[in-house]
Amino acid sequence: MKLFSEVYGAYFRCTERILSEGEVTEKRLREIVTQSAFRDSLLFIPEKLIPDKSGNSPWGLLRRSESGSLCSILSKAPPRIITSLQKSWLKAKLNDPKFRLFLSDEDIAALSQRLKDVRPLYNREYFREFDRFTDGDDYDDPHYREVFGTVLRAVRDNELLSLELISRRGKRITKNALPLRIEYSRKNDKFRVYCLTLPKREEYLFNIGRIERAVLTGKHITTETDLEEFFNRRRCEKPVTVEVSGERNAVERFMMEFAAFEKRSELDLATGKCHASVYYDMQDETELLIMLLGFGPVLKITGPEDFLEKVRERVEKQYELFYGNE
Amino acid sequence: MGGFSELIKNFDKTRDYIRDFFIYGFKVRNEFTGKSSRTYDDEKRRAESWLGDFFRYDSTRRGKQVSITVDSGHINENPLYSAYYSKSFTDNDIKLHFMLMDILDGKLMNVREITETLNSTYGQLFDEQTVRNKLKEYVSEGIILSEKKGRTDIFTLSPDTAESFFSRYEGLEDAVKFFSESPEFGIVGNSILKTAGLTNDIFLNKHNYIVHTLEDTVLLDLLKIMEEKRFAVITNFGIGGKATETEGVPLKIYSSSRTGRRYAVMYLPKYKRFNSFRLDYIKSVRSLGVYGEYDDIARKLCRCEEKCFGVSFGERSGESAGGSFRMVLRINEETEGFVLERLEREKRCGSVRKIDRDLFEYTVLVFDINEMMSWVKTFIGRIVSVESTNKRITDKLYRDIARMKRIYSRKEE
Repeated sequence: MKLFSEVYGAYFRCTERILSEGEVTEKRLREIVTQSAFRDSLLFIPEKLIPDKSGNSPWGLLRRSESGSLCSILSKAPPRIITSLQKSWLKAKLNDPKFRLFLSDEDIAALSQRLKDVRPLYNREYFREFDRFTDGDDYDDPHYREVFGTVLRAVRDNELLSLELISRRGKRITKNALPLRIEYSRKNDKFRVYCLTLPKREEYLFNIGRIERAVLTGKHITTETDLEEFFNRRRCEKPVTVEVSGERNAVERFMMEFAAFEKRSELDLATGKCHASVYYDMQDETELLIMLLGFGPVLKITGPEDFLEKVRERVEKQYELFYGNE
Repeated sequence: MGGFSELIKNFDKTRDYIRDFFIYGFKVRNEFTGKSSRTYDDEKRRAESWLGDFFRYDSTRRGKQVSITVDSGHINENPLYSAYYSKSFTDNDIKLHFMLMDILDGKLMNVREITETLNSTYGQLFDEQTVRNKLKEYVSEGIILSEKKGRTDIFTLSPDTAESFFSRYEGLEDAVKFFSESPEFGIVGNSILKTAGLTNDIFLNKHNYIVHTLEDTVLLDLLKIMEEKRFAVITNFGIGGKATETEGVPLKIYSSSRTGRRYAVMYLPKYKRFNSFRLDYIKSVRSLGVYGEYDDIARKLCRCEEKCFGVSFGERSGESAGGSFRMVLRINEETEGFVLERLEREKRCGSVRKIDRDLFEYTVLVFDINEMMSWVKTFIGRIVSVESTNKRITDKLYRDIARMKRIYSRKEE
């Protein structure tokens, strides 16, 4: 079983799409290449597929019809086979407690039976996530599974939900909301749902574990929500800017740890320092602050001023705790 | 095209470039040391072709800087998966792929019949050995099934189509969409979605280290060795870029959702100790013989985990020496319950106890106290005191706070 195989490759997939249509024009062929292969594939795939004047092509999978269009030489659309690697991946995922959020117990049993002779791609016991938070969601809880299922269905079908939930401060909240995307955090081991409340159109992120009741309203929202705009509204006004010193391997640590953030960085070769701007969701400000503090003196937060003020406050408090009012 | 191809034979070389573009977004052309500029240009062009919109050019004082910029929390699909979809192949490979699937769908045939049909139906002349090799390869990939009829091998197409899975199990589509972005071989799930013509349009992943996918080939080799309880030789390219070979017994994969690093934990019989190796630094893995004491040593590792704060098994002396650590934190019980909750969920092998009003004690016994310190610093502003058997580390924390005070001093402005 090979992970890096042409069988899964963009060129095979793109060719499969073309052959599945049976007959295509050259224009349509190029459209499919543009949509399903890489940016420069137009320079490579058509010349391999389109027959020359004598009817030959390197891949020999299309012939030209009398009308000039290109026809598949196959008798039917190519079947889409699930390979051993893909089945063994499915078998491994079946053992993940989160898998139960998606399929009924009966279907899980039936799928397990179908894959009974397949070896799982890996054994979960070989993995240890040592800093995952211990208060993750309870995926075995029937109430949680039911709420998750309802939210998932609403996201899939663009259906408005009536939600009742308990806030972090213990306050009961009711909202009519259109769920847009479900977010999973592996650090928190929790699912959350991005919602747009109606009619006010406010952006919210709710923990699924805090939802007491989720009811499908039957109202389907046909207007498409611009997700980029949605997330932009949640984004910080100004990025946090930092200066990372070359000490304690800090640049490498910083680049790795903040790889999940959108950022711009530049290295100053003369000083060995890295200057970076980190963009973040406003709801994550405290999390970002403590992540940056974790670097100690090898990372200097340089702005924006309001963020810097919060850092100063904590550092000064800490200095007082260690050294008193010197 | 001057010999340029979007496709590659070997994943490893490309893996390094993509990683450098992504993690170290600040490198310029002449900083990709040890590689010719032609190689750099080809690799950059390939990566740009695969990753398109995520590629970014910035002009800096040092030259044009290339990076891959991704807000990984807001993407439907890991763009680095594209690297896996770029394996090169021959014209015969692609011809045989589609023709064999067409011929063998619902039919049982032997190699001779298949070779003849390729000729009679498509006018393609293949020698029997070429066809036999491809059939063998596809049997091992599970695309084609084979059985013996007398002394002859008979082949047919696997009936396991994407449609047969997705139409039978309601919810499987969503499950694959979700797990296609998971850190453990999400690429395989993504390939299932591509096979079925689907895309993830439901799930997002926070704390998502998309670069992990580049380690999947090495990870798969390691997991196979663990399954077979074998010794292995890993070739490691560390920070200095110097290759080192280490022989040991791989036992587990440790990963951090906070720092984005993953490690292979190995037992090194020569030194009679456990050690962790960064997965992204492992170039290749070679399997050796079976290790007879595998189960005993795996049990020993489990016991050790009780004192392992992260991935370090400590040193006898110096900064990485183990021992006990105690920290007292000031947390307002009435208004800052959320901090206490954070301490509880992040404490790992340590324990928390209230010692006075608004004062909480965290104690732990670990192999390497130094490893804890970046976590300890996340409580800056609340740490009343720290004590440990490794005084060098606690002294360093006090010095760090004094340095930070100077760095953030208002007077400096």
